[in-house]
Amino acid sequence: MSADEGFLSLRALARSFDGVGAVAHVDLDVARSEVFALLGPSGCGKSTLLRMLAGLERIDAGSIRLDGEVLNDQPAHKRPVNMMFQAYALFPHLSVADNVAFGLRQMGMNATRIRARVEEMLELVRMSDHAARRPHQLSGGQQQRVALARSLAREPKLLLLDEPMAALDRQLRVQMQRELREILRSIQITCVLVTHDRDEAMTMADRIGLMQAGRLVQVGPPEEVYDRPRTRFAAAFLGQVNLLEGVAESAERIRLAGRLLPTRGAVPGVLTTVAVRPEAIELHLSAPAHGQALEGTVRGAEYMGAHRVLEVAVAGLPQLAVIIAGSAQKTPPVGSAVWLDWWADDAVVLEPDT
Amino acid sequence: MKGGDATRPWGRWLVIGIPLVWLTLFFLLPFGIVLKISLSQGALAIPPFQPWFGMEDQWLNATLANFRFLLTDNLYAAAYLNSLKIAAVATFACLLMGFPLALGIARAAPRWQAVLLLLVIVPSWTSFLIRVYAWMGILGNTGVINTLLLWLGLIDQPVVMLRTDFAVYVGIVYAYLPFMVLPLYATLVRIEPALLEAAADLGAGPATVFLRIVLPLAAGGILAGCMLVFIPAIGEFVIPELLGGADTLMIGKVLWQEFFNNRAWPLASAVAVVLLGLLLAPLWLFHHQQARSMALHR
Repeated sequence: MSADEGFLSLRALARSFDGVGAVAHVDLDVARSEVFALLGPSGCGKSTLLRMLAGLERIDAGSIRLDGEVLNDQPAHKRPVNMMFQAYALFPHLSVADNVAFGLRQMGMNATRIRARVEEMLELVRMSDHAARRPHQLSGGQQQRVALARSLAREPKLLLLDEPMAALDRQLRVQMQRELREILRSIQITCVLVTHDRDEAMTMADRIGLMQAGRLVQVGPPEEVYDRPRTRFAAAFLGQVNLLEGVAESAERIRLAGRLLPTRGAVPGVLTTVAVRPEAIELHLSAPAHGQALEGTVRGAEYMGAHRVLEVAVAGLPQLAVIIAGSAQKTPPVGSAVWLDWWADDAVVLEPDT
Repeated sequence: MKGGDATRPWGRWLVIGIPLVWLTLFFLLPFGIVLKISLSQGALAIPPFQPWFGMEDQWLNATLANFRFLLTDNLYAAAYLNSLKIAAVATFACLLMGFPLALGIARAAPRWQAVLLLLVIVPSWTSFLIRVYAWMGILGNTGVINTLLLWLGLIDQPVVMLRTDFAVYVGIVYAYLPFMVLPLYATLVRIEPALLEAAADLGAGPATVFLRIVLPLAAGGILAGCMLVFIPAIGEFVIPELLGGADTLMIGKVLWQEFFNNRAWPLASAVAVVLLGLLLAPLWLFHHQQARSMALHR
């Protein structure tokens, strides 16, 4: 492992509240300039973990190392780490420029350099015209930009983003995600962000760490976590999924509703759950020649604009969701018979949930 | 629709009108009378001043003589200044004691906050006069403190505390501390904890967080608390009368003496009018700050 790969490294990190583990034995390495997303439902410990990185939460056990330096006992105000808070926490009594300058003043920088740095930061987030405004005079998106400028001003070794888009409405969110991602890439900063929104994690991050009950259950690039989920929880949290249970006949075949469907890496003779994404299922209007497709009936169709989600009932299995693209003509009518199958790589064998 | 429009102003007039009538009848009108008396000449009569429209030669008996008299005798200026000094020092002492108290309550667990606030207010449920008398029992030469210190052998002679300025300060700080704590608490509890964390995250140590974030954001509460203590403390009469010495000069006492002992109603009224004039400046400042902080918080 090169020095850059373990730029931020957490070892056996733990924190509990009143005996209840909020963060339990987390091991994680984040590379220099990497954007890493901690993804999970509320209460999974992701925010606690972030606050431990910032120094706002005590560490019960384990260690945090950043750029070779152990941070454990450094108070928040001495760490080379800055955080963008969820509701931004801009100082209401200070102007935009003074908010950005606040952290610089604590460094003992002289006034001329502070002014230059504040200007540079406000330019980066395109807020130069609003330097004299007070936070309450800004829109949500503008407040977010100021908060970002403020947390970047001190050139932290590690930037923390706590639910960066939570306070924005949906329309603005997509735009700000793109802007934020571009800024983070352009300045090559190492960043850990926390979110409960899988789309946000997937669009913003180089790697995702999926958290459940205080533990990291899966870590990897977005495509990998989405395509190769390890557990039912991971499969379901990243997007819509069909979870199908059957006995594996061989490493490559699983018996579902009397048919043998392709998969990979199953243990023969064992009751196995496979995860199949709705968009990975191939839908046939007549029985394929190989004779091993699932035969079902269309129960409903949900129109989503760019695609449709069909509900297909197959005897002996839970109802399946199948995503099909294309026009209404190609959509099989409700009540018609359809045949479903998939490629071996698309049926992922899951581990039992821990 | 029309009925709704017609009834709404009625309700509004009622809501504004009742306090307006109340204030006019029981504040503005009496003050007008006081102002009128302050411009009258004293007389050996009941009431002890001359009417404005006398039977004699002058057709208007109004005079500024009472105000002029306030300037001639140094007693009044000294009493005003001493009142200002005592009120200012007591206000500052209240702030020093009240701020940590309010901060502690604001930072306490939510279920404790109501209880702690109640403890601040509970003493006010007893008569003010009785509580001041209680301090006579505490501070006196045979009072609780001196008895304890003598018993412990720390002193041979009782320390004279009662009938000194010190006792007046103790009394004012004790009596007005809740008026400092409550507005301070109200502003401190509204400061988002995330702001303090953000300041720490940006490199500010605890002292800087306090000076740069907590104090400025609590400014409205500090000013409100100081006004609520300072303004009534200036005119305070009961505390200096009961706890202060004969030489404790406060304008409230002077006013009382002019009115009841000397039966100089016009002069007493003039003293009151000037006192009100002195208080207009801090009141205006307070109002100005309130308007500003309201604009800041939308």
